[in-house]
Parts: sequence; structure tokens; C-alpha cells
Amino acid sequence: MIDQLLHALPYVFSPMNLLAMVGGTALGIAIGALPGLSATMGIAVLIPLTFGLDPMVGLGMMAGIYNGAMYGGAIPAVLLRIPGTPASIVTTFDGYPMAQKGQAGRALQIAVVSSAIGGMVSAIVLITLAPPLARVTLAFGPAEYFWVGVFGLSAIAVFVGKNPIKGILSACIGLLVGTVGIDTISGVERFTFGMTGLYDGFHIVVLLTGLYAVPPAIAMAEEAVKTGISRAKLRVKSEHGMFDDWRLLWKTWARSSFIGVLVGLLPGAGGNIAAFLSYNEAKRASRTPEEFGEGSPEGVAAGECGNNADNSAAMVPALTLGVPGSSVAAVILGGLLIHGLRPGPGLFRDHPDVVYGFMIQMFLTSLLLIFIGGMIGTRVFAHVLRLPRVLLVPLITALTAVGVYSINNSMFDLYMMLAFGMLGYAMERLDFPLAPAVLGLILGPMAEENMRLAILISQNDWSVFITRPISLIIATLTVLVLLFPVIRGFFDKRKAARASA
Amino acid sequence: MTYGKDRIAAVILFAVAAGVFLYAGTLPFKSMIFPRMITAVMAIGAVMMFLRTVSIAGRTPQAADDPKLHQPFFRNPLNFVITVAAMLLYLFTISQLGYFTATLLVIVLLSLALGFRDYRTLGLTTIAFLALVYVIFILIFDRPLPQGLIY
Repeated sequence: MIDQLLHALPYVFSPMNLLAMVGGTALGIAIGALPGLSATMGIAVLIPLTFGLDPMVGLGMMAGIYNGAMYGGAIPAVLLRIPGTPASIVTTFDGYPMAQKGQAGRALQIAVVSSAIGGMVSAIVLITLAPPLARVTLAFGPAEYFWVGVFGLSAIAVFVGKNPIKGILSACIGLLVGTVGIDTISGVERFTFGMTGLYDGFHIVVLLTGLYAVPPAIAMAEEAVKTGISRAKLRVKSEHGMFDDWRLLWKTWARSSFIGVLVGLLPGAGGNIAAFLSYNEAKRASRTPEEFGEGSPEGVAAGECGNNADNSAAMVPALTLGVPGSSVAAVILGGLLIHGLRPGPGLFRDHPDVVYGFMIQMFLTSLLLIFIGGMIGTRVFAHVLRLPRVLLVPLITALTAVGVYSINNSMFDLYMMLAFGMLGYAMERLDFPLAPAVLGLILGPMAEENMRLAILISQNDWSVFITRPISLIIATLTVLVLLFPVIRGFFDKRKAARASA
Repeated sequence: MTYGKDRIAAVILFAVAAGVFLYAGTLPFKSMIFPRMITAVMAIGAVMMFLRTVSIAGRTPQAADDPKLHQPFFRNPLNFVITVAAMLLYLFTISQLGYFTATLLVIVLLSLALGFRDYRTLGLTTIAFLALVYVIFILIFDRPLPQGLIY
């Protein structure tokens, strides 16, 4: 592993890669700082831009946007009590009260250092865990891969939203979309209705852009905020050093990093859950819990460290099994796929420079946060909030159009993107999670191919899916995941009955 | 009508699942299995979603007071229609007039239609955006963009 890491280093430090990481991190902070724009959306829109580039350069940019956006959300959270991303809701609890006390600069410095530390710890876990886990998957055959696909999909469907049934339905929509096109095994056309544009099925970027970029643009148009934030509200001053609070915060950083990493490893649980759990634990363990909610530096550190510690950890199942732990990881997985990089042991064997390079990039872009998102940087990035949000609507539309068109030079793809955008809008308004649909399109073809391969190898013996030990284990885990809401409901009812008795 | 939106969605999803299930019957057996498995799960899910709205509304009437359930589907119907129509027209115009002309039109017209009146910011943003796309996509990445009648 050390050899591969050392071998990847020269690629990571090539000028183009460095530029991509710096540019990606800066862009990510700006995207995160703008309420309504998320890391998922930023990466989805910019994936097509990486076509034709060296995969490492593209991945460097994605790593930067990912880590940058998770911190960027803290800027409006501290200055305006508006979370830039869902994961920065927790930062508003103490960041804004600190700003009210004239400590906005200190709050933002704590946020950036905490984000960087969480991100770096998470990247170290990714570097340590992913390669051995990828080796374990060498023992997997088609039946196991089928179950991995079903397990990943079930986990994200059940855990990512509030309503597991809606999660499962969302996954079914993605799976159905994935069946469109020529069946690669039998050569039969499925659900193409004679349209040549559908022969190759739907490109993942068309779905990603439609689902993640169009609905926020429509939402911004509906809100139609015509003025930006005034310069006076964005004034940040600090006489505080970047690391002055380390004695107070090191325990919070350690605890929140651990929680964030654990949450990241679980499929379906995102940065916002990591931030909430970290915040609660920090409050429980604090000597001054009464200060939480009133402007506690520990509160800001816990939330920001927790949500960034989720980032790289969510990539562990994505890189090794093809099952992303969060929606951003799902989009990055889409980015890998369009560069022809299939997750799993093959990725580590055939493209070690790319995969180890990407893991190093996740570490470096977290470190870069301190330099780019430091005091001067944060002052600059805060000014993106002066841009009237209504102006972003046509800009996002135009940017998605250029990106999607450049995949196949096809106008048909653009109309499909808009159709998926409408679907995404309806799903969002009805509280259907979007990530299971994306994962359905990614994992569906993989699961089907392996299911049919397993049946072919076993000569139509369907018991192959439960007779092999690893298959049986993953199948059992899948059933447990699907039964989880029922079990939880049962215990909740018992608890409520005991409380009322 | 408290759970109306969910019920309508459940009915639509069930209809889609049933339609695809039947249509998949025209495919050879091996190509049909997977889509039929998905649609079976989807149909069961849609039925459960529908029944859940009935059972929750029946068991806990206070759940009907949840403000989220009373939120309208569209936050601002007029702006929704304007934006979606502009997006559709934009895509059509790209193929007819070319990417840069269509983009210039959509930025200016959509912003104005949504009530933005700061002409200086609008002009500067439009020019900066078009220049950025030209530099990144044409000069640096050499991507072909739809040219249409103008450019």
C-alpha cells in the first residue's frame, strides 16, 4: 500500500492536478456558501467539464469541491444564520450567536480548522481501510455482487430519507431508468419505443444533472430573491490566531472526527447526521454545556468537524464495493464511471495511481481548506452572498446545458435532462429522497448483469443466491436493513407504552 | 385532501409499475425478469404508501395538523411556469440559433421575467458568464457547442 501511495504522489503533485485541487476547493467553498447550492449539485454540474481531462485532474477537482463545499456552508451559517448546505444547520446554533457577540471571525476560523481536521482524519481512514476491504471483495462472485447491489440500494433507500417506503420507491424509479436501452446480454431493445437516443440507455450525468441541478434552480426561481446580502452584513474581523483555540477544542475534534467517520462508513447517513451527533456528544461531554446554543466555540467545532469527517469515509464503500455512503459519494461514483473507472478490486489493481492519488487528493484538499478558506479567503468567499440568487437561475440552466450537451453532443440528452429535472422537482416536493434513484441507475445494471450471470453459471439453480456463505451473509444483512424500520417502530411503541404506563 | 398529494403519487406510481410490468411481457424471458422484479416491488411500495396515508389519517387525526402536509405543491406557480417554459424554449432555441445566442437570451429574458431589474449587474453577469464559457469550453477544453443559425 505504501508503495502505491508513493507511486501516486508525483501524479498528485503535477501542476495540473495542483491547479485542479486549488480551483476545486475554491469553487467548492463558493458553492457551499451559496444557500440552495450543494456539493452534490456542484459536482453533478461540473462532471462533464472533466471529460477529456486526465481522470486524476477531474477527481482532484471533485475532491476539492466536496471538501470545500462542506466548509463553505459554514460562512452564511455563521454570518446570517442561513445554512449554506444541510450539513451546516448545526453550525448556525453557535456560529451565529458568536457572530452576534462580534466573534464572527473567530467562529469562521474555528469552522475552517475543524473542517480541515475532520476531513484529514477521514482521508486517513479512507487510505487505511479501502485497500484491504477491496482485497476482501476478491472473494466475491456474481451472486455476491448481486447482493452487494441490492444491499447498497436497500440501505440507502431505508436510511437516507424520513420514509423508507418512499426511499424504496425512489430506488425502483432509478432501477427502471437503468433498464432502458439495449439489453447487453441478449441484445434486445427494452423500453426504447423505437427512439435511437435511448438505445444506449440514459447516461448517468443526464440523470444526475436533471435530478440535482434543475430542482434547486426552479426552487430559486420560485423564491425569486432579487437582492444580494449587503456588504455591511458580510464584514468579518478577527484578531484571533488560526489555532489559538486548540487546547479548548482538541478533544471535540477527536470525538467528532470519530463520529463523522463512523457515520460516513454507513450507507445512507450523510454529513448532517454526523454534524448533529457530534454536536450532541460535544454538549454531553462539555464542562460548559449551558453555553451551547449561546455561542460556544465547541459547538461550532463539533458540527464542522463532524460533517467533514464524513466526507472521505463515505467513499470507502463507494470505491471498494461501488456502494456510496452518501449522495455526494454517489455523484463522485458517477464521475469515476464516466472516466471508465469501475469501483471494486479491479480499480485498485488496474488503476492504482488514480485511486491512491484520489485518496491523497481528499487529504490534501482538506488541508488546503486552511490556506484557501483562511481569514482572507473567507472574507472573499463571503462576498458570493452579494450575488442576487435569482440571477443564478439562468446561469445554472446554461451551465447544465453546456455540460450535458458535451457528453454525446446530443440535443436529445438535454431534453431528457429537463424531463429528469421535472421528475426530481416532483420527488423533492413529495419528500422522496433522490439518492436512491441515482444509485438505482448505477447499481441496477450491475445487479442485473450479475444476477443473470449467477443463474447462467449455476445452470438455472436460483439457490445459488443463498447457498454460498458470503451471499447468505449479505442477503441476511439486506433483510435486516429492510426490516429495520419495522423493528424500530416496534421498540418505539414499547417505549411509548412504558412511558405512558 | 390532507394526504392527497401522497395518494395521487401512489396511484401514479402504481399505474407506471403495472404498465411497465405488462409491457415487459413482450420481452424475451431473460430480459423480462429484472424489470418485472422491480415493478413488483414498486407496485407493493405504491400500495403500502397509499394504505399508510389512510391508516395514519385514521389512527392519528392530529397528524393531519402537520403544516408540511398543507404546503401547496408549487411554492410559486407563476414563477414555476415561467422558468420551466423558459428552460424548454431555451433548449429549442439552442438547436435553432446556437448556444451563445440562446444563452444570452435566456439570461437576460428569464432574469427580467423573474423580476430582476438591476440592469448593470445583469449586463455584467451575462458578459462575464458568456466569456467564461467561451474560454473554458471552446478555448481550453475545445468542446463543440451547438452552433445553430447564428452561434
